[in-house]
Amino acid sequence: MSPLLQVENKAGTPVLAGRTRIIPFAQSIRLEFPGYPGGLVWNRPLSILAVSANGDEQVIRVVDATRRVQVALLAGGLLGGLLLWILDQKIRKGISNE
Amino acid sequence: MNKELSSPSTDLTNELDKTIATIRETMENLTRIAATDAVYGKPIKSGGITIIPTAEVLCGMGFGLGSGSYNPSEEDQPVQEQRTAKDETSPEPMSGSGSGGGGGGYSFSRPVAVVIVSPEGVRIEPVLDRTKIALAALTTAGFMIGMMARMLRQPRY
Repeated sequence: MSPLLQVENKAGTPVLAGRTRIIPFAQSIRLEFPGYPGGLVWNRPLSILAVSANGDEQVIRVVDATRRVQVALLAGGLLGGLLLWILDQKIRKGISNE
Repeated sequence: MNKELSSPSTDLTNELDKTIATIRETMENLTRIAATDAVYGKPIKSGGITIIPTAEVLCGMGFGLGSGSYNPSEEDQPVQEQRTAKDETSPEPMSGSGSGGGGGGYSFSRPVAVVIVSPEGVRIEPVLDRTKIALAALTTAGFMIGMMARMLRQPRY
């Protein structure tokens, strides 16, 4: 039986751009529910390895800016909601004590 | 000719096994082949600059299969007799089976960033999806406003 969640990092075909060789890396996340035919596969870029002509290596991460902003907004909304609720509870407590 | 007949449930099990194997194979291919080839696009070269587009690819699929059968048993004997008496043209006891299946899939792709290789060096420029960000901001704002309105509506005592 295959596991529920599988995460794999894979290197792609190297690309020669000028005198620089680029090796792309991708991450593959596979979600499968045992006993149910079907599943979910999510492939996303992870990073690139740039090897220059003189042998210098540079690893650059691929940042998903849209997702970061989305997560930040969601987290901000939840945190803001929690703070509002705490503030409301404090005000109510203050009123009932008076 | 004496052909051996297989039962409908055996046929269904075989079909289901085949379908599961096909889905598993497709998913294996999606992770093995599509991972890097689908995520990184073909390099575009223009005036000493090479651009490699990158995207995220999400793919989901599912399948369901069901069957049912009715075989007359001793408990149903009076019903059988009733039916036989009413309908003489079909004296055989009622029995039958049926099966059905369905499946679906979803595929989604979104640009994430662009790899730019120039004589000055290698850099990655992120791709911002303004529509998605605006929708997320509106959802967050809606949640906050809704929560505030709910708090203000409640009596304070």
